[in-house]
Amino acid sequence: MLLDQLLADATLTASAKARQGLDEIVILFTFLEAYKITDKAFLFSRPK
Amino acid sequence: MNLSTKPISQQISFDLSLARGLDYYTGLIYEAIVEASAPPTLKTAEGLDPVPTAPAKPPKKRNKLGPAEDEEIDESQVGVGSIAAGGRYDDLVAMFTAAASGDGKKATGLPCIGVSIGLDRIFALLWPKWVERGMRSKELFAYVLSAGDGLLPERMELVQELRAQGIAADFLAKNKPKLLAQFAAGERDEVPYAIILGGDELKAGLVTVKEQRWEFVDGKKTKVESAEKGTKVLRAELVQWLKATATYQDWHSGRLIRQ
Repeated sequence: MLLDQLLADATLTASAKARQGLDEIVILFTFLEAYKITDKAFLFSRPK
Repeated sequence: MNLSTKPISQQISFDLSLARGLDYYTGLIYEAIVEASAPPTLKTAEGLDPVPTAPAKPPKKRNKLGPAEDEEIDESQVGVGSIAAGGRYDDLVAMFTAAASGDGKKATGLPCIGVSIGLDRIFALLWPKWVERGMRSKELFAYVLSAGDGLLPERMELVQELRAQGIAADFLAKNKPKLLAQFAAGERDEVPYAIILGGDELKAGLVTVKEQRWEFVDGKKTKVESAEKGTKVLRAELVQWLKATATYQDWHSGRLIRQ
């Protein structure tokens, strides 16, 4: 998904703040998955 | 209504000194008090039986029967006050309608009579009795703990699953909480079942369920300490297992401590 692409982007992750932001979105998705509501979050999710 | 009808006449007293804290009353006013809510002076004056009640507690709210605010009040000497009150207020509605219709117009009066019930005060009086009877104070049925390394997503997932199945569940929303802190949080909520997740157990599809019981020690609710290790339950069968327990079947009764 888009998040993986962004995390793989070396130019983007070179910025500490961008890196932190992405890491936090990873945490968010861990929680969204735990609550089974990933389909209700549109941010960064793959378009259907 | 005819107040001379028995048994109501026994419960009514006419008191010209009664005053309410609100100045919109224009006629007869009422206050309902119960033995436990009245200040002691009134209890003796009314000849109410001095039934021993729970230790006097400071009033939760301003006491309408008590002395003015600037006077020193011995808090043990007043009850929670009236539990319901009201009366006649013929001008109150006109005040609002006049304001709403703008100046110039004179609003027509609307005679009113009303009584409100102080739920806070009633609950304050009922609560100690509820606890005394060994009833629970929370709706929470299961607390999900981690004995392993945080396991936050795993705990969230299980709690979500339990809630979806109609079992009130919660967990300590911390990344890596200590086991004792989690048990303490579950104990505060008087949760009958602690569900403990462990890394290896989860891989084997198992969780540990530990029942928690309470008893009265010197009149206080106390958790029964037990060395029991708990029961291993298949994660997939957990909901069924919990719903099959006597505690779940009896949950609607509100009972925490079984005599």
